[in-house]
Amino acid sequence: MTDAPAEELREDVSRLARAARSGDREAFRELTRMYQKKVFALGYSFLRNREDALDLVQETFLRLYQKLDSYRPEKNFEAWLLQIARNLCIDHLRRGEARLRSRTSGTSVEDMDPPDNRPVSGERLRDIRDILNRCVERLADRQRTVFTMRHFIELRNEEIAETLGITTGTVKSLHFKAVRNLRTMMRPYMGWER
Amino acid sequence: MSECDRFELEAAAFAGGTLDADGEARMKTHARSCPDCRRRLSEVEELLAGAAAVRGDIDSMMDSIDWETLPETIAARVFAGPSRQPFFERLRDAMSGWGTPRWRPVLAAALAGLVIGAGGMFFALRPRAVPSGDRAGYFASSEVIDRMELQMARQETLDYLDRSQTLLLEFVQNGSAGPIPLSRADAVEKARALVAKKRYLNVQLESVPLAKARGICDQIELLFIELARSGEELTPAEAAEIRDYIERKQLLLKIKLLRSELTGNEV
Repeated sequence: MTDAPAEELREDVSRLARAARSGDREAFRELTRMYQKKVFALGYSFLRNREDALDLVQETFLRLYQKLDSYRPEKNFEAWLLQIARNLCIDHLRRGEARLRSRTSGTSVEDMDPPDNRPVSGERLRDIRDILNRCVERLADRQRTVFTMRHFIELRNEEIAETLGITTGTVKSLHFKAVRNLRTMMRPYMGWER
Repeated sequence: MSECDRFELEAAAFAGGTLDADGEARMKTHARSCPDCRRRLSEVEELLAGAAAVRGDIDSMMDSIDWETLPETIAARVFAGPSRQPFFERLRDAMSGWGTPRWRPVLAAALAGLVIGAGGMFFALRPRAVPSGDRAGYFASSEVIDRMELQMARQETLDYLDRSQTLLLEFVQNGSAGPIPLSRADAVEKARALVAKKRYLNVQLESVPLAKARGICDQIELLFIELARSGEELTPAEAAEIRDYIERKQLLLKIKLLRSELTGNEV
């Protein structure tokens, strides 16, 4: 059975994309309004810098406009757009412009004090967040991408699969590996028993 | 698959609340009876709480952005370029007027030239019959490809270790000679290059059985990430801290041993 609101959205997006392709500025603005936050979240998750992420949003929609000719309505627009954004993030990181310039915390994971055993809130949560941030960066590329998309951008497994061009099973497997590796990496700093 | 293995596999989905009702009930029943899995679950819950906190940071960051004006800013940038029409419309504009009787002889001549030229090219360049034995196909088994990948990963790791060793030695030797300030820009540049190389190496090490090499390279990477992060002149205290890390982790010794193992094909 087809999901009616999803089908309606797909048709709307397809109509807007067609209009934007023929130069309709308002349609293009509407597309931007609909997806700008998701693209920003993806950019910020990868680049960890507000300005870089904002640049990425602009660059992504610029690239989108140039590629609108090749958009087919049967494609999932969001997955296609996020694929463009992800490729731009990778280019950005390859150029080394962002990754080393800005970090969420200035302290090395090894120098951080292990969080105490209070319930997960306040100070402890901040520590866990910082340690997690550090450890996520040390994951292999595909595991990092899947974990980031699943938890920082809150995409569903099916959406991730479509964006990355892999199966849902592979997404689940990569996510499992990412969580297992993160637990291993975080264990010494979190005071978890082996 | 044991119940504990299944639990570990589904712990993240369970903690994230994305498991179906049956799966959730099964997980709860097992967690009640298995202390190890309870501990696993609490670790995963903490990890996911950290992930939710990161997501919260992103949300707060987004609150500081003016989303209303951004689409217009982007649209202005996009539409400021040369006007863009769909391909077929551009083609139609370019072709308009060519169908008039004035142009018909020219079009007919161009078409005839195209057909004659294509025919000539076909006869001149058509493939000659080649005896089947003359061209052997190239075939490599998956085993050979695996070995090639392993060999390439080994070479890349050796290269990474060599370059890391050089940089680490700079710190250690500077320490023994006294508090000589290191060239920060030089060290940072080298560290950045090595971090970038490690990122590439991670992909290679992911698919080959070189777990030990990966572990040691990860420790080295951590140091380089920290080194590359700050942008100021390296103070003697910071240099001493780095030397201390190198000595505490016995990085140079590990590199030496790993290099000899990799060279001797033992890893």
